[in-house]
Amino acid sequence: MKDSAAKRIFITILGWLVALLLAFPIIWMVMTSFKTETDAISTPPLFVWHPTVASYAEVQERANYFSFALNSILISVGGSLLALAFSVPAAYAMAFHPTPRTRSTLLWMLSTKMLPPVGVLVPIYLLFSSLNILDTRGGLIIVYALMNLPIVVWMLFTFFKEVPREILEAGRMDGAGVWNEMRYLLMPLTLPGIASTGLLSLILCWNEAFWSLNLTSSAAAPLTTFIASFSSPEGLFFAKLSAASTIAVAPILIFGWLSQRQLVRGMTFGAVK
Amino acid sequence: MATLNLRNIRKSYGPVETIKGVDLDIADQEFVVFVGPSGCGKSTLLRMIAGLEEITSGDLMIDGKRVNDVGPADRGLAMVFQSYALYPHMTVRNNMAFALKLAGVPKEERDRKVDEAARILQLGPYLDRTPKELSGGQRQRVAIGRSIVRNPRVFLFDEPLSNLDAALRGQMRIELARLHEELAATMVYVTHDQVEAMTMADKIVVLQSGVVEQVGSPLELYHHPANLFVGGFIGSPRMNMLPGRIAHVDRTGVAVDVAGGARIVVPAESTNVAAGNPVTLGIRPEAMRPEPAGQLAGEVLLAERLGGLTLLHVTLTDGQVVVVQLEGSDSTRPHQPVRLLVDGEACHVFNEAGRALPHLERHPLAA
Amino acid sequence: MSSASATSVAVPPRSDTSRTPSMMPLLAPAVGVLLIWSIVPLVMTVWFSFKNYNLMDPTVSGWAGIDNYSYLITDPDFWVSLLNTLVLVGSVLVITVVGGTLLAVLFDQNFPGQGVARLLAIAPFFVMPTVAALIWKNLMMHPIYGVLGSVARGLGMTPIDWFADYPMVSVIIIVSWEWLPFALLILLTAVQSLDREQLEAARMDGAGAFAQFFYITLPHLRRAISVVVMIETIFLLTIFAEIFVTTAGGPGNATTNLAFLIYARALLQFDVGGASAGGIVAILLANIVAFFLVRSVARNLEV
Ligand SMILES: Nc1ncnc2c1ncn2[C@@H]1O[C@H](COP(=O)(O)OP(=O)(O)OP(=O)(O)O)[C@@H](O)[C@H]1O
Ligand SMILES: [Mg+2]
Repeated sequence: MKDSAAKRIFITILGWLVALLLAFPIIWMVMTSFKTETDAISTPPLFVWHPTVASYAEVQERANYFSFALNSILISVGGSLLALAFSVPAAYAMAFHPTPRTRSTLLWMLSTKMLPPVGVLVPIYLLFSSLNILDTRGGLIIVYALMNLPIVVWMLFTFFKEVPREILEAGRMDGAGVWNEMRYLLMPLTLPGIASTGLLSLILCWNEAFWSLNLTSSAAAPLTTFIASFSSPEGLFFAKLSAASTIAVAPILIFGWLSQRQLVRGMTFGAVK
Repeated sequence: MATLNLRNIRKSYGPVETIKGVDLDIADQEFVVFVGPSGCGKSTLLRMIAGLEEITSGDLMIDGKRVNDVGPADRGLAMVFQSYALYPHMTVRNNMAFALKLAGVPKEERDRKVDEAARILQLGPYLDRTPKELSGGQRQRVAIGRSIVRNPRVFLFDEPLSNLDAALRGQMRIELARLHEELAATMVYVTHDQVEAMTMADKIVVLQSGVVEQVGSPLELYHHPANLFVGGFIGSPRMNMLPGRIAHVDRTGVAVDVAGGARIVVPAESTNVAAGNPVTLGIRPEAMRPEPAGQLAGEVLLAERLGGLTLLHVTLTDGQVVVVQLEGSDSTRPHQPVRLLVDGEACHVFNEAGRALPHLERHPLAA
Repeated sequence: MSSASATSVAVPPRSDTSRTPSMMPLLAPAVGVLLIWSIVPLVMTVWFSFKNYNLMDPTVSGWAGIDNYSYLITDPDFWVSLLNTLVLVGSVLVITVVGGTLLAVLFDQNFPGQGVARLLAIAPFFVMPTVAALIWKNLMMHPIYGVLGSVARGLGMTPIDWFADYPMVSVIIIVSWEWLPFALLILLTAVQSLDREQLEAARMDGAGAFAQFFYITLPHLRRAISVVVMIETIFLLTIFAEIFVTTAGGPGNATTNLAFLIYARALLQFDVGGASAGGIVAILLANIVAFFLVRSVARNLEV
């Protein structure tokens, strides 16, 4: 192992190179967001420049930016809470009181996630239009909740399953009935799992771009749609596009970083530890 | 006061019967140990007593009252789990006080009882820690403390020491024995460990495949095993089992021919056997010693010197290997021919069905 | 039964109803809404797919029989979109799984700043698709102002007009960039759960770095890889936003996948019947894939 020092340097350089390359578009986006529009499109690209928040100010001035952001927050939070409201009882029932049917129920739920949204775009669109909930937050909240329900149930189930059976049995020996078990044991023990499930759902809702592009136009449109509206004016608004994108991405990126470990466990249904 | 009576207790998981009719009486303040090979149903039986597992059929009585349909918390039992099953999000104090809190015991009394249990278990300094800040032995003591505070009629333990290292296990064994005395409670204890079973039990229950093979005091099982299984299971190193034939029988016992004609006379009841019957001769490792006049001939295969004990593995003339346990450090060397003198009084004869022929005299310590 | 004596007859096994109240009320809402969500639109799609139905033209009506389907399968656009879908899914899967595995092994090594580097590497997964697509389209791949163009010029080459000349490749790059971190995240977790002593034992047996990777690490990752493939496939089959904001399916139909084709039929041409027929094809396709994927996942699950 005489070459271990050289190997270490090589690994370090390679690791950082890969990381920076992968993150480069994001880093560049953030850098561009602090440039003037002219600096943003200068060739060759500027790595040193006078930072300015002018683009942020301008994005902010477009009064509707905040309504998009507000829509994103309301729809993501609403959709996630609604999904949790349906999923927590279901996952509780399946994890702590399994029956012979539990396994097939779970797999069926997973299989509904395989139904591609495009396959049902038309009827959903028509249903929404006849119910007059096209381009409403409520409509999108319902769709998001349903869309994430299988994954949320699965993830909760995985977390609930991790509560050791013996702890609940000890609780029963100590005299905890269904209600006290829930209040003193299950709630505190599963809250972290419920929180990270909610977080994953939030991330998925925040970034969702099929239903939001097709079911909303303005009133209920979230940030994904707002950003998509930048797709037409070529080149001229790089800085503003970057500023708007940065604000749209930043909160969820931080959430994602904070919860990456739980996300792995949840998204892989506990199959990867 | 707490007695336990099991009447023809059975347990089925679907079509599979795992406990096949257990009858057992446990007296007040008795320390009863369940032993048996893995999967024989020890935990299942214990959990049925606890109320965590439904009893498929039969009656379970505590103090003479049938409790099959009484919930686990209302049977007046406490259980200590192998994994300890401490509530990870509660402090040691709250872990111990949880049952009392659910039972609506006022705070001062709860604290008093927890402090008392902490004193007995020397947990005082740790009351405000959470379980993950404790060592294995400390967690074990919290689990015991949690059961003590409820003042249960019966303590149930499922392999409580198996997650501890050998030194700590020895220490906790002594502590449990002391607790048993101090609390004057009935205890039912499941273990894999021979030493735990032999040293702590008033009464050992040997289980195999959901059936009770024998119930008795440790020395009773050791000196008077009821059958081949118990003979082989109790005692370490294992009893040597030699196939043989009955040479003749009389009032003083049974003469058995084994391993190339050696004849060993065992003072056992001969009423149900006759000359020529095939039997198995069980010889405890300590019931043999090298002696020029010994009945068995062989060659030393291996000598394991443990300091205080020496284990000789000897290949007999017919190729079978027996283990001989000698006091002290013996000088016998491998490949050396030896003759082994067998103490017939300490031997056991098992008939073709595996049942032991009862000894004519009981061992003085095995009642 | 309370007076049962020691000789009582065997009580038939019964379920543990006293302690386990029925869980139906807890389970029913979730199962119910999912049933509705998965069946009602599906039935409607099937229904529409046999109708003549145009949102803008009420004169088009009545049963179409299998016309929508025959029109669909004789439409070259459909076959192109099907092929595009498969190319997109296949390429991204290969790139992300192979790349993710290699990167997972790389980030499993200890090096200074590893934690921060890992956060940087997984960041793209959390970027919303519309942002990802627009950043790549404008800041990266724009032939004049994009970074890639500048790099090319710096190296004395002609900048590539990505979306005009290599539209599909461009989309694949963007989507792979989004999903590579996901594969990395999952596979890295799996790599880290590998027992170090296994690798050391292999080293003692004379296995070099490659042998260790192929005989120890890769088999250990099998389960994680199957999970990555399943989850990615679910999402990749219906990639939409990336195409919507970059190429709008073009040029021509070069980047029209099934999802985009259906969208275009339904909401641009208002041909509900035709779009529904396409939807059914998408569902069939997903089901074929799902059949194998769910089975492989089910095998890996202990419920
Ligand atoms: N919930 C269950 N469903 C079906 N079979 C079960 C269940 N629980 C236990 N068993 C079976 O019952 C038998 C007895 O199990 P038990 O846990 O009582 O064994 P044990 O004697 O405690 O073993 P060990 O010493 O390994 O703990 C085993 O064969 C086991 O497979
Ligand atoms: Mg057990």
